[in-house]
Amino acid sequence: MKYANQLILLTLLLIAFILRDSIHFSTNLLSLFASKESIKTMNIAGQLGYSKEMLIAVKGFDLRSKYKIIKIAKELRQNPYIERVDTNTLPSEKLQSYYKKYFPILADFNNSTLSESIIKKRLETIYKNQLENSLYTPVDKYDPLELFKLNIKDNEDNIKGGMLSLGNYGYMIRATTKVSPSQLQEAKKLYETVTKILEKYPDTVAFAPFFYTVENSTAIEKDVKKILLISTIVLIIVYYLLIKNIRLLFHALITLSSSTIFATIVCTQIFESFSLLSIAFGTSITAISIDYLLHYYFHGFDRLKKSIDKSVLLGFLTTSTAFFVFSFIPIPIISQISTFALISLSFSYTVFTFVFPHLGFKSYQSSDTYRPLKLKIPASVFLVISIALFIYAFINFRFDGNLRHLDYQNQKLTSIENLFKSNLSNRLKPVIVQGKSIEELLENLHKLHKQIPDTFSLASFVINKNSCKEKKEILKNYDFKQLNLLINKKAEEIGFKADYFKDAYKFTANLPSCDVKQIDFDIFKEYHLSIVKNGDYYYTFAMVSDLDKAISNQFVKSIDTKAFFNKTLNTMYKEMIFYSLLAIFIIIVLIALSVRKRFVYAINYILFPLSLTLALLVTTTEINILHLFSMVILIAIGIDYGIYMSHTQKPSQTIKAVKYSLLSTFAGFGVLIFSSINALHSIGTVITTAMFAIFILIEVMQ
Amino acid sequence: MKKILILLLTLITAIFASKYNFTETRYSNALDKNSTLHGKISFNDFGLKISYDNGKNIIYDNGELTISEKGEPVILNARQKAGIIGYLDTIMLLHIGDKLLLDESFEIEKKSPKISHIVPKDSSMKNFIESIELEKRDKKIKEIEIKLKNKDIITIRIDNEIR
Repeated sequence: MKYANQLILLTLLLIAFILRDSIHFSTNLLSLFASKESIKTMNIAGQLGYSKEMLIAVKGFDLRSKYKIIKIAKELRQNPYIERVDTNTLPSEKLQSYYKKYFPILADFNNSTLSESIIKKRLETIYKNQLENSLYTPVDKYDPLELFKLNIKDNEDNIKGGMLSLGNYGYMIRATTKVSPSQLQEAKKLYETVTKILEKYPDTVAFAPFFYTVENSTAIEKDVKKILLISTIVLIIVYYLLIKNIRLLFHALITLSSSTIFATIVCTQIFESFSLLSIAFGTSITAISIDYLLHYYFHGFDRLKKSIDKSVLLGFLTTSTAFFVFSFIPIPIISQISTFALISLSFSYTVFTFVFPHLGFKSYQSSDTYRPLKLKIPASVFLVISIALFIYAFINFRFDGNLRHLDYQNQKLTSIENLFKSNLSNRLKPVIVQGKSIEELLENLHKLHKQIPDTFSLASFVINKNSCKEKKEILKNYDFKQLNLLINKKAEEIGFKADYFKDAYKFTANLPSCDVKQIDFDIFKEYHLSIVKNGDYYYTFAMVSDLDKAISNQFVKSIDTKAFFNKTLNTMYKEMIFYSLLAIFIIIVLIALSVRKRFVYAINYILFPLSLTLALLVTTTEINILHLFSMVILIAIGIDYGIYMSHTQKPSQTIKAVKYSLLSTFAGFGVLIFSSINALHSIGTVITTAMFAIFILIEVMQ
Repeated sequence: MKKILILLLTLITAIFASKYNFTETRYSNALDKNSTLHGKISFNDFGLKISYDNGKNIIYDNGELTISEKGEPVILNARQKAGIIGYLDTIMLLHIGDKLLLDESFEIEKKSPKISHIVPKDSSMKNFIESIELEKRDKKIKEIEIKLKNKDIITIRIDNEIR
């Protein structure tokens, strides 16, 4: 039994090793906030190439900048993670042959009958231009009268010198990669290659969404190491210098590790994509279980061999009930953290309660006597102060709804992203269009083009079936043979070479089929347009100028991430308020049943920390969703202290246990205040302030 | 010291901001006829300027193309602009004569110490240009002959450098 704790850890490590292939973590912070439907839409957008784009710009518009671009593009094309690289908008050979084949159908046709004199006049103009115009203009021998006009709209507004350009900054490369921001390993490899290539070319900047994945994950790793170091130092101070029982610390750490591993194994099997952030946060919550251990330690482990400590059990039940309730909140980050906390807390409670009494810890010998402060304030006063603070916070409440502010603030990359954003013209916004078949998809695209005429999509290149048939009919009825004869006769009279226009309008003789199935849609990838099938539907992108008008169609889906997250945020609020009220109700019932007479005293352990934290936050910053979530957790953990303090028979031992437990909680949780990731920093701020408030209550509340 | 600096600056300007009189001969296959134009061409680090004697000006500077005729701007569509820019880029590149840059876009074959035969590698340029014959004297362009896919030929002959 002496080594039971170590044995548990080793067993769990062995299980983790066996299951290592099925234990995967996600580092995509923002995906934790999106609903399932939004994630599905984003996945389709990902399949269509959204967020896989990489932009590289070279400063300046001189010839050397242009060739620098060409050289970088050449090197990028050799990388297996890069699908295509564009430096200009000139159509590829495949696209040119498509235009050639479908030219008569795609081009606008002037159906009017031309008189001999008009034909002669037009040919004379061409003749004159050839001899007198200082701007060289080649003669179109296939359509000399310009009856056909191909009006393919170019989606690209960012053109300079025939090349893609980043506003007035310089020339630009637009690369489509095979890497999405959620693929960390692939993203790292491509990031390294791109960085290596660009090192050779000064005055170049690059941006891709996956750069955040790579740079932020490295920064997060560093941050976690820093937090762990601070946490260890605080824990050593608590256990070695204050409690003077390093063996207790050793065993506590083993149990916390076991709890974390156990919860990680279970959660990674339950959740499809379990976030590293949820583990970091969940591990911190696990550290609060140390208050069970300290309570047992200061009151003596021997008591546990006879019966279970009711205060600790009640504390554990209220906390775990709250987390159980929160695990139903359908927001991935909250349900993940709550489930993790529930599992890890249950595990550590079980070990501390049933294993630790058998590990042979010596009873705590109190070397100093507790001297309570003379100043005592009645519980009712704290209740009034709390209400006043709540009112103050309510009046000054400002909410920061930008979820991006929660992520690691990568200033350098953000400024590069802003350089690209501010210099790129983004008149059109992408939306996803769906259809049950390719034909229906194209019909829907054409409907969208009719509603919003400057839309850019596959419908800009592919005419719909009915229009195609009508066009063919018109062309068949036009006498191109007669026109050809006339042109050649008049041209020779004017002075053109004989038979120079012998092939004029012969391209109208062989018209292509109107069946869209014969079109290879892959050729439009150079315009970032493709078709993917997901479930029963076919999907493609359309670029629209009026987003609201576009998404009013049932077949159009928005991929505006900001709108997604705003929608999520609203859902989050509603869900959090509902589940928090439910949790508070359950906690109040549990407190009312267990502490009865000292109800106000116990409930102050929730209200005072909560109101003080809120008041401090509204004074210094804007409240974000994680501040709110931490406060919800605060409800779950704060009540433990209220229960212990209301129930205690030995106040001095309980106060000591609670104080050290507060310090341990700070070591595990409050240290997050030192994190440079805003999400973690927010949690740390709330918990640290709350710990301070609880400390005040212990000292002065009567 | 000041004199040396002025002398140095004058020398640099003379090298980089070179200006030439030229004669452009165009063979039109459609007419089977030649036409001739005269003008001035000047280069700098960021572009070139062509002024025809008939009043038409082409300015290509920092990636921006401006064409005017007797003071009035000539409006071109994006595709026409891209074609002219490709043509002007080729002339600029041949003027600079940077081998590394030339090799990126062209296959170059030396026919004689003074004459090179140049074929474009790039598919978009290949659609318009068949080949280019370049004649240089004392490392300076003397004549450029551009054979186009439609069998038209544009010949630019540098008459003299304007100092």
